[in-house]
Amino acid sequence: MENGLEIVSVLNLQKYYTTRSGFLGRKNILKAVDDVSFKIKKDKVFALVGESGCGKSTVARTILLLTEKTAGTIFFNNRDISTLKGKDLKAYRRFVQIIFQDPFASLNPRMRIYDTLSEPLKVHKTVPVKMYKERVATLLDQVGLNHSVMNRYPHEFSGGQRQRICIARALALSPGVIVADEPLSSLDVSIQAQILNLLKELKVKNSLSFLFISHDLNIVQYFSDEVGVMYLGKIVEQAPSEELFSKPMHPYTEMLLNCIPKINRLQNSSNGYDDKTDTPSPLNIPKGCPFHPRCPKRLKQCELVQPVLKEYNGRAIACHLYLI
Amino acid sequence: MSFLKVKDLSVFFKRNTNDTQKAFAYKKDIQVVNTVSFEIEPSQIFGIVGESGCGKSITAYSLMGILPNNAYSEGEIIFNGQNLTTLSGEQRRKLRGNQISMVFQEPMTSLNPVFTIGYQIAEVLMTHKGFNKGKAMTKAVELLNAVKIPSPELRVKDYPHQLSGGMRQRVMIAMAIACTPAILIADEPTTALDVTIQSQILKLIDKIKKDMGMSILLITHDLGIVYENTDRVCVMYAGRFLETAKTIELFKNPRHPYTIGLLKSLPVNKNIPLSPIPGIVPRPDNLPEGCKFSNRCLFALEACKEQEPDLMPVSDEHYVRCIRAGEHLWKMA
Repeated sequence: MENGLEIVSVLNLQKYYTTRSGFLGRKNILKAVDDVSFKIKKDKVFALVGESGCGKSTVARTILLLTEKTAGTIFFNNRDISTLKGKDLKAYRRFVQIIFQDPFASLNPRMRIYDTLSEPLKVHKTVPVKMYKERVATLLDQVGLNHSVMNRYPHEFSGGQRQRICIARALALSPGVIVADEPLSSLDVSIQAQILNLLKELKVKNSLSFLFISHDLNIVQYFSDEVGVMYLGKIVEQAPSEELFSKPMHPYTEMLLNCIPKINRLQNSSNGYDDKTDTPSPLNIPKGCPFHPRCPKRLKQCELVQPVLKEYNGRAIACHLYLI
Repeated sequence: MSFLKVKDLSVFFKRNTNDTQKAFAYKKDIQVVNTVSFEIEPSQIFGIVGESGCGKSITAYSLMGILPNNAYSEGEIIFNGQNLTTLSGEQRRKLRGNQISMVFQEPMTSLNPVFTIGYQIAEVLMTHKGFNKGKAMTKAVELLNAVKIPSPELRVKDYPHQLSGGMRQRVMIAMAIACTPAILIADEPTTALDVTIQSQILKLIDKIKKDMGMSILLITHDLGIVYENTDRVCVMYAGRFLETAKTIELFKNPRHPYTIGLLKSLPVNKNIPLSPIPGIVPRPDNLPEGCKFSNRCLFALEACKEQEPDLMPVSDEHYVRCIRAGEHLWKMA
């Protein structure tokens, strides 16, 4: 695979939740993330895609230490982050920032924009107090907002503007990695394009690396360098973006790509998949290959043996079709 | 013959005239839909595409007769030769769910959590067709089968929380088609769903159209969905239709700068930079003078800011509200 310095690498990450059916009911284990490994490289965008409930957001939250992992390791500059303490931990938190999906829920309605943007500066003391105003103004500049907005409250802004403020907040501590969890999905098409251009511009200017989570494959194709396709908590295919989109190999990737409505496809040409099944619940993952009940290309062994993620032609893929 | 004909439909919202706000009472009501006209033929899917707040859902609500209390409409909605706007509330109610029905965006919130899905489908039939409960429940199983829910005999007894989002949307569709309505309005039916489930639901809607010869009004913000599923489409902005044409024609030959802008906002290829539409959608009480898109338009002239153009034909069945529609701006953009 491509070279490049890795900043954050995730190794065999697992996150299990235990649930109970009823008060004294049986304990169930929900495998939200099961054995996921990938690397976020310097100045590159790693994207995670998949249907809702496949564990993409859980991966993001564990990397940010918002959720505790069950097992596995996350390395940051070759140090295991679970061993970080005190100053080092604070430095890690400063270095990895997040942009959430819903800009209406992720800004405190009772804080002025200035307070929202200067709070990280206060917590981390990266800038002397008298420089706050200047710093906030630069941040607003970077995301294309006027300085005068710093005295206003979030309700005075539209969705796109709020998402710009959330981006400014993520940039406040000059991070190296930004985790963007569906940053565009609550925005209108024309605003999506504005924000996507902004992210692209900031990525180059501030030399940022991204973990980009999205279910919109058109956007992922446009923005990412490498893509991991997740299904029920596992990565089933991982490849450089161009290769994945030009030649999807895992049947699930193929199905996802076929399901996106496209403007240049011939009208009324069926996309070839007659999928009638729902995504199984992560509480009840099918035996063998978790995708086999929906897979049009399934083989006999798919129902029995779970395929492992293996190198194949420069990508990683977990499918019996490619394990000869 | 056309099933549904909408002529010069406008929708207004009343200003709040509480005592505290008397100072604003002189202001005019806010117009959110401005004289839209269209026809939907049987077995046709007509798409309305636009960004949030452009008035597409409100148009659907006025067709259904379910506008909020502080809103009122003007213009004509002609269905089977009858002007719906002149009917009484009771007469409208008899049509709703029976002749005209609707599928909403949020399958999670639009089902009643305390009744089984079977009962909720049967209720439609008992109300409109006078079926007894037994017969209605049998029909409900058939309907669940028609929307491809596996083992429908067992599922009728399920409550909404036992179903996934895609399954709930299927139940909503089953309810909507229970009385074989002539018109089905689908307001962003797949926005809350995953792409794989979205493709299943859209295929189902297409099948229903073919099997039952229904007219379908599909409201969406996704141009890909419009392209793949509709026969005719109109692009809505600030309560107006800016462009309307046969779907293939609109995508092959977009004429309005807004349509062009939307198409250029879609990421296609990594090497082609996006050229988004600048600015934001104006609020309905604060629209610009002249052409409502002129403040964001890359091709606006002085004349655009003075007078709003009419929806004019540029070719057969292709109408555009732009004074520069004849200039093939698509090639210049």
